[in-house]
Amino acid sequence: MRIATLIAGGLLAAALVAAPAQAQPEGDPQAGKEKAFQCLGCHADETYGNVYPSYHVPRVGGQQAQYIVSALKEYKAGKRNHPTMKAQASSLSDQDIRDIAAFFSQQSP
Amino acid sequence: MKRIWIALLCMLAAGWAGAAQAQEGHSGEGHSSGGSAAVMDPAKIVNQGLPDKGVAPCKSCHGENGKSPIPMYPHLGGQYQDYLMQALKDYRSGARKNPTMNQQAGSLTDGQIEVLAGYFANQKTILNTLPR
Repeated sequence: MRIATLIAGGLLAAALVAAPAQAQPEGDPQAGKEKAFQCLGCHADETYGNVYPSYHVPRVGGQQAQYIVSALKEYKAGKRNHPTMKAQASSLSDQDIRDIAAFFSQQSP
Repeated sequence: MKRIWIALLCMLAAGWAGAAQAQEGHSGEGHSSGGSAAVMDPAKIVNQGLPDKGVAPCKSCHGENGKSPIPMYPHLGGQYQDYLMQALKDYRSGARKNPTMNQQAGSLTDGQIEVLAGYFANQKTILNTLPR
């Protein structure tokens, strides 16, 4: 009985700790629109491409906000290699990243 | 002692089931693509994966039409084909790191990458270029 209580208590505590870590604060799409000004140079141009290797700069309008957040954080941390994106992301705060992601995710076709 | 026998029998049964499943997957491939040739139908890979290569169906995380049902995974529908090809090749080589995607792309051929990227690029209702 005492063990069961301990286990139940442990699970509850784990759930309480895990919940806030999973819930992401919402970004502000209006603030994101202003902060995204520099993004438009490449991501708002149909013809713009990476120079080498050669491929289109990805479409990000309508993309999942959570994915944009994780991508920008990976660039910022140097876990994803792209010199331009690393430079761009390194100047962004976590709040900037959430706001920009919220703005992008609302730009559906 | 009896328990050991039961445990051994269970292991044998599990092993046999696994082997039978692998065999089935292999012969299934044979019917559709003629021998050991790589599966080149993107819809088949998206919906069924490549069980004998350990490739899960793309749709499980990215949706059948490239609209991901799970917030942390990207939508792929309407993305540029060449960008998706680059992403899959980078996952395959390990230049881009993500344990799931490294496993998924690891066994894909160049041809499979091209048709998969084309499949998602053609689902045009989800992603778009940012407005000016």
